[in-house]
Amino acid sequence: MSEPILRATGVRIGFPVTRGIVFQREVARVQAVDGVDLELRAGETLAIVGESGCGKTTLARGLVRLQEIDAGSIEFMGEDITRRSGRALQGFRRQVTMIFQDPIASLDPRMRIGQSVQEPLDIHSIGTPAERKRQVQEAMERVGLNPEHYNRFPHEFSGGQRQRIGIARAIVLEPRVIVCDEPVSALDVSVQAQIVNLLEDLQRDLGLSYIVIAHDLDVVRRLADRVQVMYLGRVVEEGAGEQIYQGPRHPYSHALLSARPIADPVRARSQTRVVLQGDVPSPLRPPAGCRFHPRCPVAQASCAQQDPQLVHAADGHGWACAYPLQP
Amino acid sequence: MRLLTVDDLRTTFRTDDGPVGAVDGVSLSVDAGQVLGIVGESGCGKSALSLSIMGLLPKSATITGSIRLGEQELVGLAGSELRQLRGDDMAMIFQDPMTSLNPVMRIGEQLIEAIRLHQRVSKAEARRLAVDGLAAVGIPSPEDRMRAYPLELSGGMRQRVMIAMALLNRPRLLIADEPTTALDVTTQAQILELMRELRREVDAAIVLITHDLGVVAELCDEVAVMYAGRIVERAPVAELFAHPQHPYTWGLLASLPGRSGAEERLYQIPGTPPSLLHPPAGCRFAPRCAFAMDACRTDPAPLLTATARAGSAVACRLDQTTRDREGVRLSGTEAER
Repeated sequence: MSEPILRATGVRIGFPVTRGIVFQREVARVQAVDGVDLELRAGETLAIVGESGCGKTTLARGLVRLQEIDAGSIEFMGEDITRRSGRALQGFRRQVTMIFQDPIASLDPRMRIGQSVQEPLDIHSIGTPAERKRQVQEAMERVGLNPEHYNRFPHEFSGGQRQRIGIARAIVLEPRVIVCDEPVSALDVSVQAQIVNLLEDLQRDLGLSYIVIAHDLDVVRRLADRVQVMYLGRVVEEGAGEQIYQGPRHPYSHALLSARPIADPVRARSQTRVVLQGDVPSPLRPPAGCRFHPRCPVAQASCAQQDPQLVHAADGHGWACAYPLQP
Repeated sequence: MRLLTVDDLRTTFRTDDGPVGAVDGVSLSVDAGQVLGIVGESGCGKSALSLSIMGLLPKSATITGSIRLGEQELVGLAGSELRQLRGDDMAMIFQDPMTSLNPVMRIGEQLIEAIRLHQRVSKAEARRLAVDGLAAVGIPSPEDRMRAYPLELSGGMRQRVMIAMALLNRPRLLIADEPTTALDVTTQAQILELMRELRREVDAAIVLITHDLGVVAELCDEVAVMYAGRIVERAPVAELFAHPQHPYTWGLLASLPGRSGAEERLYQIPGTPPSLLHPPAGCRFAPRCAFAMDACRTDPAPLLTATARAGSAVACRLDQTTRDREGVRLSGTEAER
């Protein structure tokens, strides 16, 4: 097994809850990410799934150092970059880039799209102006944009094309890893297919590794080699995509999978669903014991006291549950 | 019983660049107790269609054609008459509950107001109905929730409140525009479950506007597929998924990540939807269609015509054999692969 290209160990990220307007004081702390380990190997796609508020986006921002982490460490190609800053962090930022959900919000409306794609090269002072321009044109062609549109503005493009601009920006630095936060969830089905195919092509052609944050489990199944399921700041199950999709062991993963609507009326109406009751509890006051126990359809009395840890089987499939489902 | 009948509806928006025909000759009908799904991508006119039915279009829009609720013609009705119908005979739920809930009013007050606008009941009676309404959509401790402000509830709970409000006066027609799109998959499952229960109980005609074919498969009896302002295919839900007849429907089904194997590339419909300012002559899908013939690009688009498949109709020149063969080949279900 090859060395992981990106490794996170025991990552914890919290946000202060403050009171007062002038004299703000911290009255509590929300632990959005509460001790997460992950490993991304070269050329692989790791997906992180879970409901809103499970901490997946905070984790992604922490991994690219857009968000300070409170504890734990992040290693990139064997080097600890957790505490790096300034110039020392620049090298990492060139190698690990990000694609965002909303391509409109992530592009400057007053900047020509060629300039937007070029901006990362300018920031990192890469190449001569002529070389930069050539790199931008290459990146635009690679994502299926017409390089002649260099001088247009974002509003002249459709949603799918804007997402292509966002992807061109992410690949122009020739990174090793791209963290994709809900890359297709704002797009129509037919456009979604185009972007999913593009991400797969780029991975093959450029040897990229992806971390994909998504709530659409069908898109994840398609893109991901491995999947981590998060609930209230923790990983509750992890494994190869098919291990999780074919035989989820954690009741939460099972419920999440069974909740997806199935685009087949015959199967959709014949299958029995686990419909979870209630909402995700507030991360300010996570439940004692197993955090999922108040909503768990198979919880036992002991689940309210004991907090299960992630345990792994020999095949790498791991789950944090005292009464795992039989595969 | 036929409840909603739309005949040759055309909704046109005046814009600085010229008129935009968002809905261009749509005819459909829904029976009581039935769920009609309207599927299509952004800009296909599905929301303009639902706002036309509700009489909620902005002043820049004009409509022609006919919309009948039971026997009553809605096109040309005065604003006050429409207001009386809305919230009473017909109600609508939106993707974002905060567009229809007042953020500075307690939930209970909003529900009571909605009831007393349409029913002659005392305040105490209205209050009782409101609490019952919240309980009916599965809101725990409804008495307490009456005092809550909308922002104090989770997204799923707000969606339930909006559904409760829409159902308060027992509407005969309910229009749901992307009711679960903003929700997490587990909450979506709860809301779909709720809507399934409600349709058994309230016997209303439901029009469900969505881009999500999964939601259609779960909930609808019939489906109309919209493209560039027109209905291109209409069929009972099982037929649509088993024997889709229009090349656009094939493309939609084939591009779903859950339906194709992981080894093969997802099918992509080439090109982008046309601008409704200058729609293509002929069939509007022809520029993106792999099967288009010369006539498709030049002659007027075919009307929605019955196919050999029970209850299904399609607006396409291809012959039945080709449609059956290519439909299954391109968008085949997993079982057929």
